[in-house]
Amino acid sequence: MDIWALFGLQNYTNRLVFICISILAITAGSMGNFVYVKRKSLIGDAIAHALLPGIAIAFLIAKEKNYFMLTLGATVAGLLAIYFAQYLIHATKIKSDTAIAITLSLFFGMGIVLMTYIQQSGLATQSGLDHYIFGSAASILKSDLYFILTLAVIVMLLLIIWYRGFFVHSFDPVFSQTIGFPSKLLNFLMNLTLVGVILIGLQTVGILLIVALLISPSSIASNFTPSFKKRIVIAIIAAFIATYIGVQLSFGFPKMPTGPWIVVSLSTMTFLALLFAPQNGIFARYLKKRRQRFKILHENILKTMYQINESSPENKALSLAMIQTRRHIPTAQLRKGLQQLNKNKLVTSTDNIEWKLTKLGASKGRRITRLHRLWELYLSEYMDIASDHVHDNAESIEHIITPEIEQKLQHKLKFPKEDPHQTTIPYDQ
Amino acid sequence: MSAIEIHDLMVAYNQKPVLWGIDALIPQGQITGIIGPNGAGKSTLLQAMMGLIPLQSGFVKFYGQELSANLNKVSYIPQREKIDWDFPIQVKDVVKMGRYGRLGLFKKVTSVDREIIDESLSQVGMQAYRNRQIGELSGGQQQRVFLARALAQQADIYLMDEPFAGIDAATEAKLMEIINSMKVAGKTIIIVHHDLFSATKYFDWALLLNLRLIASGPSTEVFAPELIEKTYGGKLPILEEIRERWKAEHYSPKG
Repeated sequence: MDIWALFGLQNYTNRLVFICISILAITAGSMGNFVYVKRKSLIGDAIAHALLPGIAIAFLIAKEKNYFMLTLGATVAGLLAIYFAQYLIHATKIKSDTAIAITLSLFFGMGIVLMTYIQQSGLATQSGLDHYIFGSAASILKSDLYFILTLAVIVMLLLIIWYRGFFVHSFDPVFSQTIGFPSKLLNFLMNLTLVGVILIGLQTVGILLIVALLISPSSIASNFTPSFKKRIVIAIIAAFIATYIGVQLSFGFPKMPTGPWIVVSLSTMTFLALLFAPQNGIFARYLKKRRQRFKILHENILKTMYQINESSPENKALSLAMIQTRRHIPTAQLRKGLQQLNKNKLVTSTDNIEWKLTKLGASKGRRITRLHRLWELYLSEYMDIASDHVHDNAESIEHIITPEIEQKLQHKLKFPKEDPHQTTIPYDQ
Repeated sequence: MSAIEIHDLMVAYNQKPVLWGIDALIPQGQITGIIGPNGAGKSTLLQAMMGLIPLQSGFVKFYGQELSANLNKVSYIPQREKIDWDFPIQVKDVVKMGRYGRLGLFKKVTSVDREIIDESLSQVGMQAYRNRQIGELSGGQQQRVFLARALAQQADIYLMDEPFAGIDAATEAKLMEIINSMKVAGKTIIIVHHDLFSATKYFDWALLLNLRLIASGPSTEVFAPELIEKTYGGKLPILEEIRERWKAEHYSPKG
């Protein structure tokens, strides 16, 4: 039994594509984090586009697909583009986004002109040069694999050896300079590494879409951890999963290019991460809001019921209407809230019509009432807010005061007996 | 004895001359304040001293030598607003960077380095926050972390750019306490500061700056009403005109 079969990779070409794409996932996932945290996505895209004229010129000189010449041409063109954009930003009044757009279109335009010339000369079809724009995994050759492997080793070595420099230079370039780190060299090496990653993705994903592989995995990772190193690991895994799905999809639909499928699955994953990220995801935030709304509803019901019974010695059962005369809560909400409170044993009812606070419920209601009145007192005593202006603010603040803050308030106000409206502040016995 | 000598310094920033003919000596083992109004060139002076921006003329010497010969003896704390607080980095990793000046790009962090990192963190009272993301900290805590990074550098001279900006009075007092203990340990500290009122309490020595150096010397002499008036008083109209012309002409006498 062939282990490759487990992954649906019996076919030799498929296997080759898969290996090349995995290498791309690892290198792009690692380097992408630097690009992402430095907010250099646009620069990454510009470099990718700028490789085209370099590749074309290299081909015109070598008259064939020569990997060495190709790397040389691409590297020179990519670095030229970066320094050209930087020059525009420093020496003219052009803002950085404009400078990058100008660079990108200038280089890519030249690249297309050269490519058209090469195509008309009839050399391009055999060379596979036209594949570099959109990528074409299916036409990958074994020689491409050796090329990619060599580049990957160089890229990973650069990243590992220079990691400290790259990291410090990315976080605080001024500090990096003051401790004597070679800023210009670090900048150059980072750009070189970036060009290397883009070259690795050239054959499979292509110039137009490679930036997605740099940015999206890191963007996904940023949802899960604030640690830079862990982000690299997550980014690699994310890139790997997306590329695997993309490759399989493109094998399933012949004549479909791999690069776009990879980017589509990567983008889907990015979107899913934004939706379902554990802390700041849209869904998590929705749940949090919902919990908050219910908490406020519950606390308001308990507080209102407590206050109705505050002056009477016994704990009377209350109907919905009686609660509503003290505080307007829409009937449907009130009913639902009471049922939920019942489940938590904070209120009880014998007939589902009249409700009574349990001991725990009364204590909670008392606490919210106390917090409300403490906060009112704090506002009027420490913030000089008139006593007829403090109620609305206390209505919202009472729900977020923690036991620690409550204690501090009590000490600061010296366990006061009355709020600014001369109402008694209730304490637990 | 002076730790730093600034000689005939002229600096242009954003194509506009900011500092003119600055001459000053900064004493060893004291706390020196650089005082002046907004736009006086205080931060520019610090950056120029650190070689972060080119000089039009003059020089800065640390212990009689170029900065490059003294890199490990000089520590610079940038303004808080210059830092990307969203960067995925923890407190302990920021402080660890303080060791990189000595370790260079490739040498391994040793247990001695780790001890120094721990000590620096506890010196500023941030041990408990070592695993926190820097973005989660309050302004005062962020400033303390950067102070810890500087302490981990074990430098002799500390240049601090507006360390008290955007920080409440209680935190400022705590920071000042740490800075005073650094002075007791024999360090030379230079602080860019904009609040004249507290300046008179904080500094042993002061530079009054407003594009040119108005005075430098012991606080007791420098904080005289007429000198402060000169520092914070109106601009010099002809000088302003010259600065505008410099900018308009894209003037660069040094090529």
